[in-house]
Amino acid sequence: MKRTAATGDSTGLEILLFRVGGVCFGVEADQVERVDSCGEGAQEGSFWFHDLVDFGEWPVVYRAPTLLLVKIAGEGVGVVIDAVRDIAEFGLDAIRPFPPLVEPFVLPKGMWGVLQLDEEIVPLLDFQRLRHRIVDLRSKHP
Amino acid sequence: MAAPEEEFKSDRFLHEIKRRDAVREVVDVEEEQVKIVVFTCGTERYAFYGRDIREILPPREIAWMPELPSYLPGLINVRGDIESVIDIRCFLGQEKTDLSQCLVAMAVRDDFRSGILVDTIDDVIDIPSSVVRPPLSTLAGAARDLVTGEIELAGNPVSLVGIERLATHLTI
Repeated sequence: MKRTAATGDSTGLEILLFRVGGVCFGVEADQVERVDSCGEGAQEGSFWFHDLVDFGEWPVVYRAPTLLLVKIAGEGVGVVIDAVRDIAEFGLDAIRPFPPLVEPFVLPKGMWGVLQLDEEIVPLLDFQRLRHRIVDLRSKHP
Repeated sequence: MAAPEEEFKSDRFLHEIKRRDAVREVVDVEEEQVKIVVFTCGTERYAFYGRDIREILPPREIAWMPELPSYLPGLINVRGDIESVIDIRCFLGQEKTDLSQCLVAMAVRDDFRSGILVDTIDDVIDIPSSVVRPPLSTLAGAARDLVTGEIELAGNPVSLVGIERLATHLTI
């Protein structure tokens, strides 16, 4: 995994970039305790990313399933993603809030902003915002 | 006693021209003009008020985002600003086509700001506001909420889609 150069903003965030369903997402690297390869059975008790974030009819294929161990409310939770792409530091000036029409839909679902990465628009996820979703999923599939 | 000034034939022409200009100015002042942007969406022609459309952008990649309703197909980058795009066909009852071929009309009205996908821009014209009629009572569904009036272009009715109505419809 490579690290890329920081932007000029001194208030930087280290972002782990990963893909699911061909869409690149970002999460503050502090929220991720560990990245593991996802062997047979490794995802038991973990969550597929598309169960946490609804992709609707968008096709989701995990070509290189990878396990992120994330800290949610002090508890370690496994989340299966597709491949990790990068870890890089970005200034706050590289991050934009979602447009007002979009924000009410995505903020309650854990996405709090977008990162402009070259030509790509990358939604940023805060796993802390997903803890109710995880509690809900666990109650349905204990 | 001064002799009456000689009147030339050209004076009469000049007087008549000035009179007509004055009449035209009165008409221009009295007849309020509105700019409209005529576009196609699916098989129908519609129009926006020009005051609500900041610019027309060429087709561009729309970044899909999870968790959004079908009328919000994603986000676009406009010179570094991230903007939402609305697929207005969802409200006008038109069939969806390839989003990547759509133009983007950037609409700004008060606090509302978003791109709106359209198939083509047909015309940008000034019309007297008096030719805008109330919307057809036969409009159904969401279109009835969005259309603020009707005009006739080349003998065909064209529905005026109100950005303020669209904003209200989306924020309720």
